[in-house]
Amino acid sequence: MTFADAGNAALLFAFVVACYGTAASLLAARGRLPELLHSARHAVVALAALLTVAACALFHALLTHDFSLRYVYEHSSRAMPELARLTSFWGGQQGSLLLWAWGLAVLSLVVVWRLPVPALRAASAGPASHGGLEGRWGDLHLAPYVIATLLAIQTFFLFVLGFVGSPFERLEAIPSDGRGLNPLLMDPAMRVHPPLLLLGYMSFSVPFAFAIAALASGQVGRSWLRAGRAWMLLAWTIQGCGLLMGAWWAYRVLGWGGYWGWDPVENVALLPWLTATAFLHTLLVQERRGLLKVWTMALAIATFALAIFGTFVVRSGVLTSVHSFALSPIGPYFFGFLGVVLIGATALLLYRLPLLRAEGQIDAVLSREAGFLLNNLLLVGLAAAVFWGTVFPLLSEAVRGVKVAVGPPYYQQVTGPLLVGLLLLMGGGPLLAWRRTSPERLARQLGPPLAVAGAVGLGMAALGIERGLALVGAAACAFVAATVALEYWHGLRARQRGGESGLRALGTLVARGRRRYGGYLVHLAMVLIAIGVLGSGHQLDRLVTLAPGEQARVGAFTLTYDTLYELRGPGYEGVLARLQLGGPRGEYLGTLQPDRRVYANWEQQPVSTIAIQTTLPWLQDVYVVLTEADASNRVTLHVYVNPLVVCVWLGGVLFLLGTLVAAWPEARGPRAAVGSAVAVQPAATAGATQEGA
Amino acid sequence: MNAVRRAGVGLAMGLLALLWVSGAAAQQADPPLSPEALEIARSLKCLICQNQSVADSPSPLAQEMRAYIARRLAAGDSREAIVRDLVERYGEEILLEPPRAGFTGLVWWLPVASLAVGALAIALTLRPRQRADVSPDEAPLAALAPEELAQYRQRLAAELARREGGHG
Repeated sequence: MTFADAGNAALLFAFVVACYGTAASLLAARGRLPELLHSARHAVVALAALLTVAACALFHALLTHDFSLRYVYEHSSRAMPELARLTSFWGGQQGSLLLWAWGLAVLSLVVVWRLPVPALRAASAGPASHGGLEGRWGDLHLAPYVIATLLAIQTFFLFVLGFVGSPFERLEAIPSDGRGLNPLLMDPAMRVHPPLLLLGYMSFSVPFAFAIAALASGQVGRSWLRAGRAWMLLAWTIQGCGLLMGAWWAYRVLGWGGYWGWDPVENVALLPWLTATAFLHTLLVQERRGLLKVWTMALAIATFALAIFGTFVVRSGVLTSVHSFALSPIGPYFFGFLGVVLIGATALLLYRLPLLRAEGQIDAVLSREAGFLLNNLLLVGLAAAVFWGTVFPLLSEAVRGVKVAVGPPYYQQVTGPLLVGLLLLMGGGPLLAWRRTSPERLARQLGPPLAVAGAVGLGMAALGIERGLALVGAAACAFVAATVALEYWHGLRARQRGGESGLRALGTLVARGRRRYGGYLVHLAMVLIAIGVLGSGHQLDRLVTLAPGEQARVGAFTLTYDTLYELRGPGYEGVLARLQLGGPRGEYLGTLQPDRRVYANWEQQPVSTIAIQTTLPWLQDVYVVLTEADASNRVTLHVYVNPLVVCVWLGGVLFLLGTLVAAWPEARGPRAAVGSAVAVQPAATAGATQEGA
Repeated sequence: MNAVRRAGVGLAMGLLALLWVSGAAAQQADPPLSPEALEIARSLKCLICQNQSVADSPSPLAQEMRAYIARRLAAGDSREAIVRDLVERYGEEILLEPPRAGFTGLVWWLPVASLAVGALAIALTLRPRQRADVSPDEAPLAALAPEELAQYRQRLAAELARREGGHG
């Protein structure tokens, strides 16, 4: 038996274990049998082990060139260096799904480890005695349902991996070499970006599992909120980093001068991130005021459904045409699963509506609650528009038989106003008080940020920037930044009045209010990203052809072409051009070395390595693509000047930092408890309508 | 489906490479486009490329289309007429921006309509509340139904206990 056979066996056995574990935890939940729950926990451990074996088997097959496996043959070749072959693991659909399942198995282990363990002898005592026994991540009532949901999801993936599209499928004749991986996917960023997105998609299972557990057990209180928030934050962070890595990869590798092309695969990855963002915000309203409970649940469910949709779309190419959609062998299963998830979860939600009644009402339009409602409208509206634009070509082809394209102009026009709305809300929202803000007070608080925004807008206009969108966008960015600064300043001043010195006060301020001040850092990150996006609207591009020694002017920059070198590396050969970059006054800014490679097996798809140099003081990227080199060493270059794009990457770093601050486990628990104790209020309006229904 | 897709992509790539090589010389002669021509080219999809507009694509087909647009503009034709003729030749698929009328109008108006419905729902949620003069926290506890009061007390006790537990 080879290692690959062992991997295959591990997958099949894992399917059986997952089926058993799902049944056992469900029985444990219904019959409240702790023994069965213990058994289900063991199943989770076994699954992690089995999937690790399967994953190692695939890695092993890729490293040892086991071309008897169809997957290895289709996604790697002998010419590829070792690290690139490891990347092949997620270069295709089956491997991607295996990574997903493996990730879920390991994450389930962490989830289960954090869930409370029932005492074996407590079996007869009944659920009431568990009341006070609250675990860190959810109480005892949730545990069996959380495990059941996670294992049910796992069962589906193992079914697909084991019986529909196995990564261990054998070829009848063993080829001597493989087809190799698309060279565009061999970039180092590809080692990180696809697994991050897959793991992000996968992580949305956990908040979903807690939502289902809360609904199934009827324990829709604090434990669910706490666990749901923590796990959603994790998934949201991973997905956010995956999206940013994807943008970075596109920018550095694809060579069209941009980083976000509104490609279907990018779009579907954005969708769960958007709904998760909405979820994280409404959760605050629910914690604080006990409102919007149904809506929060719906968002958790929708996020997971979108994550499943994205997982299916990411490697299958199904969104390119109706045919590939219909012909995809795993398609029907995925849509069946999606249907089960949506119908089942909705039914459960409807069944539990009485438990999810709002504990109050939104008292005023000028209140933090109303601000969050608006935030949700914009975020969900954004997600809906992107989803609709992404699936519309399929719909058109299916209904009318006419292919249409929905391209960047659509997305820019539809999402632009919504994004500006979100920015404005990010600036104004934090200044709204819970329950009610008087217009006078709001006006007073809005004053300074609005003044800053106006000053920035006017300053930009004075600098000679004429585009309306750029001016409005810059002012909106300044508005948000000023609000965040103001919030920090108010917090700091209050601490300093308490006798703390500057830096120390900042430390305690952030430590005591991690969620709030971490959240503000994320807002600042969004501002930076918005600045980058606005800046790239002012892109300049030129196509130039140069002979050695010749010079070209692009914008304020000059490019001097020195020489052409030959390039030879593992699995590829090509040419490399050396250029000197000069600034506006002819000063030397750096050397650019774009190259152009042809990979073995991919001769018809030459790959350019793009040379990018970020220049000061306006943070303009000079972005050079070598598109052609002829026999007499003349080169054709596509040169872009991209202002401020570097802000997107800086924003990405700040995003990660902010989420780390917000998500870092509290050393001591009482803070959150204080927050919600304050929020307790009499349910005076029993007749209140259901929010968001 | 993989084989079909791959064959399709392979074919497109092969075609692209072939045309690329033969078009290399022409590329150098590619005259800079007028802003108006560039705008038209940006709104059209390069049919043989993946996710590129006619303005961005180095492919000869896109080059030819760019030259065609420039020619027609120079001859005094309107943007509408040029785009209409190109759609006739290549199909509706070349429009990166779907028309706002007819079936493709759906892609534009549905998001707007759903946003309006959402806004309406929020407005309805917020509206009746404003008339209430007494905010709930000011309502006397005695006005509560007994079971609600009991529920409230129970919750308060639970929260307090938890808070104490957290400190301890």
